[in-house]
Amino acid sequence: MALFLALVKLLDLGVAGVLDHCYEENEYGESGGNLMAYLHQETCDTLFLGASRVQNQVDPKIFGPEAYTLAYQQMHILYLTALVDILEQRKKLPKDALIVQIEVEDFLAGHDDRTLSDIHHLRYHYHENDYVRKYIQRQSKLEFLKYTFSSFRHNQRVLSLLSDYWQRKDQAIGIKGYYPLTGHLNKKDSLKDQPLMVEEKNLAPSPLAKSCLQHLQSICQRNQLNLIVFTAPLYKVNKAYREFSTYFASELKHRQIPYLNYNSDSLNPNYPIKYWYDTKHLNEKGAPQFGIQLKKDLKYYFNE
Amino acid sequence: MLFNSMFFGCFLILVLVGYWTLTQKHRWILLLVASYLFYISWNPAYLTVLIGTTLFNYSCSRWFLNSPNDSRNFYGMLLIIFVNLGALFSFKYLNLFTFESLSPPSWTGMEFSQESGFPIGLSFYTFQSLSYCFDLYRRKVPVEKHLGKFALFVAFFPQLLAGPIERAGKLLPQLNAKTMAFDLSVFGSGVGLFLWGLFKKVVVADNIANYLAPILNSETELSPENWLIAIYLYPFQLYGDFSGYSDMAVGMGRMMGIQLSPNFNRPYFAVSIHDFWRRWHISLTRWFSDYLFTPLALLWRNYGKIGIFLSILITFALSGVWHEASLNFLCWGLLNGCYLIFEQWIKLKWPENTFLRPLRILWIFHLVAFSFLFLITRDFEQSISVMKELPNVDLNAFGDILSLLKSSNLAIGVFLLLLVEIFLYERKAQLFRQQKIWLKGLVYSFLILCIVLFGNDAGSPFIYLRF
Repeated sequence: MALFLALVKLLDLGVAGVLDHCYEENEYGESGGNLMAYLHQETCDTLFLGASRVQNQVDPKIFGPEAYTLAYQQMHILYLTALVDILEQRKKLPKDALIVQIEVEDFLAGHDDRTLSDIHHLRYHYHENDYVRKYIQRQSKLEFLKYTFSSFRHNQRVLSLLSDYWQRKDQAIGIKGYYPLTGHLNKKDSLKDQPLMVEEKNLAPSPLAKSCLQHLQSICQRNQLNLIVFTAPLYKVNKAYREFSTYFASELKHRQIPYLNYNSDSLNPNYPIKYWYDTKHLNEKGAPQFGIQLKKDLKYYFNE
Repeated sequence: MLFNSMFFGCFLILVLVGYWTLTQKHRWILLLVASYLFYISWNPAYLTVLIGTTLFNYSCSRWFLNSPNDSRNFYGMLLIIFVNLGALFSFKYLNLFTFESLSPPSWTGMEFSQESGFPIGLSFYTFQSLSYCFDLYRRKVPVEKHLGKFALFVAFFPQLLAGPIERAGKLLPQLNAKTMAFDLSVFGSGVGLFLWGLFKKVVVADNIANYLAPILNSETELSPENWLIAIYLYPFQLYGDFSGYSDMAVGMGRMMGIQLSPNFNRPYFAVSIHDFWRRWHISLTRWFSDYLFTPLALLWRNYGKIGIFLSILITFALSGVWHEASLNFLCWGLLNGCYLIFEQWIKLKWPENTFLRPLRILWIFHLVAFSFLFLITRDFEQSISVMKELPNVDLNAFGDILSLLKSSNLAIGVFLLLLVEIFLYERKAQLFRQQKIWLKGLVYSFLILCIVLFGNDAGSPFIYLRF
């Protein structure tokens, strides 16, 4: 039995060693590649952080040579906060500003399950990062047992990691993390496919999201970093969304975090349909327009 | 407490350590306590149903079925059937018209929405208790006088929730054995089977479920290409899920030195529908065959083929409804009954040819996969509309979906599953058993690594726990 366990451990360590190497070297894709591409660069001045609505809409070139975009598709506030924690641990936080795109829905308690499940995508950092470990263990008291297998940190992502590593390990997605979308929304879809909406039934705010925001703010304060939050524009929003946005804005104001909501009446650019890829994302024509607008609005905070 | 959870893993290790530390005389106590604790972890309230039916069956079997008086036996048996099926009916079917799946079509204007709870595993332990009573009535097994061991026979945790439905003649003598020595090779094979079951569940079934669930739960209309993919993938999900559960149960039994009956025998390698039903959910098929089909066929033997066909249809219809009280499950059962009747009726004789065999296997797989359409659709109306849509499949779009699946975890799972099944089909299992211990250890280590790397750790429940 002891020999069998030793054999399992040996195999586990061997496989984990190979996969760890691939993970650290690979700069392509969503299985850690985007983060590694960023970590392999020189430290930037300004970092834009978020999900696909940053990856596809925020071109760092517009903001100068020292800006960078780090984004993972479909990730929410907990994931972004953990990512910042990892950057701090690896001493790779930007020098001046951290500009984070946060969805208004992330602040709804009803979305907590989705938010919490994101943390498993950072399971590679389980052993090295306390914040990641804390939230992974929150899901089950016995979760730590799975991590006695060193290779479990690559669970469910082995194929994508290996294919990214072998095929395109040096080809990071886009330029400095920016990857524009080509194509545009057609009228039929704009009517049929409504953008993300806040459910009107349950508008209770999420304590989890609040604690994430607090953690994000404390990291920035500790590192004397400007933290600015924004919400990128959507093609359409409903009444409940607007109402909840007001709460979200007040929460950020209370914490003295500058906030730019491009779905509010004052900031909404009302881009025409030709600028949209779908109801949530701007295309390669709309993204630069949004970049210019964001740059102009950010200047206000930096000048202050 | 799911078999595929860390909590259950710890529970199993504790039980095994306790089991092999205690003497055989006291092991049943540990197993019974563990089984009830396991059941409580699901829903403490329904433990009363489990204990209640156990006490009732124990008492009736001793007072009525153990009597030399035939009429007392007969009425006792009727009472047992009435109470057991009554309990099953009350919890599973009384609210027949309250389940949405069984709601009458919208045009009737009737609407029912009330739902009631269901004691998990009730269908399985009721059938297991009934099989004991039937066998006792037929004098096939002796009466079990030890209440604790009878209770353990009903509630033995590895097979309590979803089978295999064991026969008293097989399980009770093992529970009553005076000695049971630890055998490393039996224990090792139990561990191997448990791991293989876990692999089928978390690598094959759950990865397919990850892909299929958003498609099948989608509120928008699905394209025929997506339905076709679902029809081909679901048989692997269901097989991985249910046979995975069964393998884990049999494996746990072996770890305790108790042999449970295998529930599956590579069903997708069946060469006829009859062959398929000898390989799929074997313990339930045998139950229905022994206690329903055979008596019915004997009763109607004077009607020739009509009697046999009617017995087949009734057996399959009830087997469908046993799974779930819905029109879709009834249709699934009836469709399989029709397949079997058609096969018997035309007495199709395939020439024994090595080259034709794969074709026969493929043909049967397609018939079975098609019947599963009733299990993945929302209701009967949707099943019919999907059948109408299927001929409109666009092969180009189908190719796009397939290329998406190619590099996913489910591809690895299905590939390894088929590889091992083919290996076993070629009767190489014996060859593996004869191998050196280090080679077996290497294979099991590889299996563990596959589970760790490709398994879905979300802890999804087993499909058959619904039934």
